Amino acid sequence: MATEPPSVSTPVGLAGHGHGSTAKHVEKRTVDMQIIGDWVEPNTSVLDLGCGAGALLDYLVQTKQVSAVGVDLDFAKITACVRRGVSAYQGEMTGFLRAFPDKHFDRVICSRTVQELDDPTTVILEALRVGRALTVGFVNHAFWKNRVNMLFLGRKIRNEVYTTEWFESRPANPVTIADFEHFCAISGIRIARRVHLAGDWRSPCRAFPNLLSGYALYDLAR
Amino acid sequence: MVRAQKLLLDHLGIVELHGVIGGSMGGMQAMLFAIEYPDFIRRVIAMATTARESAQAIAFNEVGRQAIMQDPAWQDGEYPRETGPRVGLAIARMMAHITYVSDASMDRKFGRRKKETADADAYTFEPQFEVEGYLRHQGQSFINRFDANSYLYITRALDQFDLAHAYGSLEAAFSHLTAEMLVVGFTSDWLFPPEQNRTLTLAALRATKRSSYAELSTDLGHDSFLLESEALYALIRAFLDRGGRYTFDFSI
Repeated sequence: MATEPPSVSTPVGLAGHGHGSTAKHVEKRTVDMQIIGDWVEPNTSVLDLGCGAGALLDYLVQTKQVSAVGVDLDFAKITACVRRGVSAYQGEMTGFLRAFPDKHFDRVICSRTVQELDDPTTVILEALRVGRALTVGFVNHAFWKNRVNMLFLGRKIRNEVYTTEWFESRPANPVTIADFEHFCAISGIRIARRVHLAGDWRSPCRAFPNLLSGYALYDLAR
Repeated sequence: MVRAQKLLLDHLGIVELHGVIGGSMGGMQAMLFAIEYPDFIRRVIAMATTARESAQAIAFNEVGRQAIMQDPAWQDGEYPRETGPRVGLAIARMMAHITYVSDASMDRKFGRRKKETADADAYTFEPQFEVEGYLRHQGQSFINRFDANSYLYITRALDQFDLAHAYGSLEAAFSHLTAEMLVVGFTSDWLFPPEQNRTLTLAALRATKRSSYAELSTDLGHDSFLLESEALYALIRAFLDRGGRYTFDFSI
């Protein structure tokens, strides 16, 4: 495999690099899960791209009785999914998506994964083909604190979200809300719903989301 | 084969199996068991296997069969019980054994090491390299425990196995499943490569069945499924143990 697993789980193992933020991370993860959970219809089929240890899918199985499938690159993550009773596939997302007919899944989820994709356009368009809906959640790189940080320190941003030095990190596309909406516009993707959360990833952010929002969630359709 | 196993289980009065696990041809049998007797098993694990052999795998089997059938001692299969085409069967096994391992694992195990007894004469055809001696040993030990005609029939059964052909399509085959499936592929397996293993889970998922695919990085080739790997054990344990209705004691 060319790349590291695009795991969704928060990098709690690296919390020592940040500001002792383990508890905060877990909390933030929960917020993401609850909003995605609200968008998922009961008894539907859900595919999670970059499912990690299957926490989100397990939550959706428990709360919405979905039939769940996850995709991840890491053997240990697949083992964790299997332990939870969540079907999981170890391999590349693009190859997986191409193996399915149109609208095979009711919903595809890409939570904190898009920034690490080799070919985001292909994955997103394929996900919209095999899924009736696509949920994308990502950290807004243009959040004002990141801008200030870059302006004054002039170095790779390191905080509780971006925990690693550049030389410890795998390549990532620092996607922003403005960038993502631009992509949707030029790709003819319809944004059915969107949620912008403030810097605490909890309270809604209503004004200037590209500047003031820390986390964004989109519900997409073709 | 699977029907015979089912008859035995019926005879023993077993009404349900928690899990069926198999590697290689055993994986084919495990899948077929789950398809043919869906209410009989709950979990199925297929490792280092395939829905149908590639031309390359069939080709290797054919060379093995020819080695046996070209041995004069085969006598059109009418050889007496205590003899038989021992040379042909040993050659078939030697070649098949190469397909079960990998370039890397053979190189690690033998490299180009010479046998201690190797003759100074470079052009003697007694075994000179350790790998030669090892293969000869594999062949010799095999003929004492395996019957040549059985080898012919078993390799033919392997070649004939084709889930897609037997049920119309792979999805149609797996549409019979009620058991949950786990497929495990091994990166260095070039006999039944990872691609052929992942196909199984993809087809089962297309048939909206519950199936997982995991791929273990090893360099031991096809025989990797026999590996004592903690990661593999953890996966199998996670798959069989979940649900809490049964607990398994894996200690020996």
